[in-house]
Amino acid sequence: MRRLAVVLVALAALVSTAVASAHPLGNFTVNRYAGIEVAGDSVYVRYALDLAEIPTLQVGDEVRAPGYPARLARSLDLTVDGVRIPLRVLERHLATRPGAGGLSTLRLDVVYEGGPAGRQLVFRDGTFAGRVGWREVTVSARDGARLLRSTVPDASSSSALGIYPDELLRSPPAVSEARAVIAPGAAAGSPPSIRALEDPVRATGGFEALVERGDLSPTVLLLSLLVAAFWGAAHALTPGHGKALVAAYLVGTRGTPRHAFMLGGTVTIAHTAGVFALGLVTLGLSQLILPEQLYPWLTLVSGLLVIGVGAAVLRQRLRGRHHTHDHYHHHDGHGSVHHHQHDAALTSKGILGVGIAAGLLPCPSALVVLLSAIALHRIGLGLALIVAFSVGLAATITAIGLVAVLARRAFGRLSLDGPVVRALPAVSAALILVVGVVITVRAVPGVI
Amino acid sequence: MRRHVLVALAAFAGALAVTLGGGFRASDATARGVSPEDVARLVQQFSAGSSLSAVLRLERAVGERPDDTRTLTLLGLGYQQLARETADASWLSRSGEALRRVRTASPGDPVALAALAQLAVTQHRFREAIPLARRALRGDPASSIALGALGDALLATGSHREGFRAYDRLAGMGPSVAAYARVATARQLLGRPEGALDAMELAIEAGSAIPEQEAWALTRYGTLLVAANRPGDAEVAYRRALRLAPGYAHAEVGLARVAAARGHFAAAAARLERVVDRLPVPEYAILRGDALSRAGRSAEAGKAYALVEALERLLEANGVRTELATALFDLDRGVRLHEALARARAAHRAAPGLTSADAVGWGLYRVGRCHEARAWSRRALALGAEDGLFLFHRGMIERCLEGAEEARPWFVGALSANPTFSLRWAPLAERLAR
Repeated sequence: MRRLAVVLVALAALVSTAVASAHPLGNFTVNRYAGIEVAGDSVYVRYALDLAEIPTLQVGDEVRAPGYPARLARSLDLTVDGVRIPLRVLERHLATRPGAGGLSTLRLDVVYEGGPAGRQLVFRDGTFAGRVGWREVTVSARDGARLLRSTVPDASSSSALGIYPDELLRSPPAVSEARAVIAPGAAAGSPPSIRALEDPVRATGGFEALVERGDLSPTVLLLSLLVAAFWGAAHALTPGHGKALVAAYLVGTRGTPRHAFMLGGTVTIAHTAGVFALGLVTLGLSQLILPEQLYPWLTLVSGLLVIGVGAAVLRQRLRGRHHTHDHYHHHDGHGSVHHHQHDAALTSKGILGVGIAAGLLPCPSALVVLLSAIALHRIGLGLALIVAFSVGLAATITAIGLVAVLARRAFGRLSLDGPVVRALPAVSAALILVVGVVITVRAVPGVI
Repeated sequence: MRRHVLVALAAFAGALAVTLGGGFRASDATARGVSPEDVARLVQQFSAGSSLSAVLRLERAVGERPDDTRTLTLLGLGYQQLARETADASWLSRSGEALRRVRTASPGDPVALAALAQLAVTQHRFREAIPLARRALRGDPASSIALGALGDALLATGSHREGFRAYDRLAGMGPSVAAYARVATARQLLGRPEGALDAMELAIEAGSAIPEQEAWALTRYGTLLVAANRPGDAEVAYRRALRLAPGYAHAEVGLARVAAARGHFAAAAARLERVVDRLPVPEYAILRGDALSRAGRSAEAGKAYALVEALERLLEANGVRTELATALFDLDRGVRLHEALARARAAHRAAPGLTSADAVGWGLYRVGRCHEARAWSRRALALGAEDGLFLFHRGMIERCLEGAEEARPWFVGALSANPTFSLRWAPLAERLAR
């Protein structure tokens, strides 16, 4: 538990600096992305505006006004076959995040509908002319439409201003115009949605919503951490999360309440580490792999780990029962001490395995929080929330473990030498194996 | 503050054109890789007004051959040119990265060292600039970038005699914007405003292949003309600068100063708003707030000042504690006085030049320590600089120590040095000079 405390303190230190992290492209930047999407026979504009601290202060109120996306559209010049197309607002999303110096940054996402697509497409983004920042335009085609020629790429290099590539000797793109030749589709296509674009880093609610909160005073931060811990505790009660595994393990190994706490701590550390590792891998490989594709692999690893632990416990039980039996017959008093030491060694090694297996089970909402935090440049907050979430999760698991331990003792006291009690360790080991097999089997279709 | 910025700008200025134009020839033997032809091509691209596309081409070349120090050096210089043209400081960190890579590959490369020294001056890291420039000059004694940066850094850290000597050496290398602009700076510091104007006229005559460099010289000239109470001539200079470099922020600010000098405060504020929208730096944001309050629009002025406070918080969050503009801003408004004084002192430790000495004196006066304040003000005025703001600060200190009658000549002096030395304080100086 002391190690856990150290980890928590270290993470808390991280938070205090990271919460006040500046906008990655500089405090003055106005960053713009326009994605022209030809879907079937229609053309849409997916627009994102990411204001750093100073522009947020300067024009934030204006941008937050409900009529702003329509006003913005006047500076977005889209012509199809030589005719300027009026842009109609379909969807709008605003998010305020804390920035450096106690200031905030602002992000506006808008989906515009442009009307029927043609062959020649010309676009010019005239917003915030002269202001420094990322300026990106893409043109893409889908739902039966085809892109024949284009002066700009069809995919955003910043994931629509989600993650700015961190290359030192590369100027931010300063593209505000695009020309393309299109073969439109015959039927209607689906409009782009802000949600689809923000996946997989979009916050959906509950725990995930915490990261999207606006200003972060110490009180709000503390409250957020408490809520995150509560969510973790509640979350552990939903299916998965190795509750059965933990209970079965503790019963099977004749665990003590101390073991239940150790297990809870291991789960917290394993879960936090797992989410961080997955988050980092996702970030590193974000150009190649989506986190959804990583889940099954992680589940598979977790399942195999559980099978391994189950097999080890089962083997120990079968052998240990024999072993213990011998001791009981020859030197009783001594044997019980010996027996205890033997079990303790087994348990602390096994606890690590079970804790890691239980913690490794990927927890999508925790990962979403981390990725949202990274996308929103609030990594420190995300990390802290995940630790709090994991602590809550571990609290529930520890509680379940305690119940299992105490129940086993009560059970044992009632009928000291019944056949059920004697079979219980082996049965619970088998149960762990079964859980492992189920997890593995469920993971396999996702991997192949 | 204005002088501080000007010194930095001077560092940035013409040095590129001079060195890249003529000065390079002398460094052929030592400047590994970068040939005069490369540089001439780069200057040509800058002069065509397409600095950004030139830089993008260099970035691509570096992407293909990351170890090519020649291209990296050119890219480092190109980024600095972009920073000059757009006043966007993010180009400077890119320049630093490119040049540091060159330095890692060939530690003694005089061109990279000189460019790093120039960068350090631009980023107000004066103490770092001095050894970099000296090392560059050991490799190439005729490097005008290094000489200019050395002189600027020495002046900013209070070594005036040595600084002027570096400027003399630079001037001896032939007529150029960079050399004459520095002569003008030196004359201004020595209290010879007429001589400074003459030098800037020569700088403009010398011209530059890069339009922005000439625009810079014209802007600098205009600022001297405003101080000399010749707003009409200043306006002509600023407008010429804007024709050479459309949208050039410093010239836009100059036109705002002209408007303010003529008493058209609302027009000045409107012009400054356009600049600050694009380029929210403390100095211009403060100027805008001052123009608005002189125009009697105090609510809007309050909003403008709120932007300055936000910029101040950002600087603090970024670990910058040596920003003089915001220290003076707080001192002028009488808020957070002790913090602002501490910031001025930190700025003076980092760059013990005249401007920071004056700021410390002003801070001490604002917290009521007039005796100490006078000692600092004497340091700021030791060279005889005819600076309206310095003289006004001294007047206030003398008024605190000796009374209104004794202080009056200082206010008269401040107004004769520059009748519009400060939008905020000039009216008070006029009252106290009577």
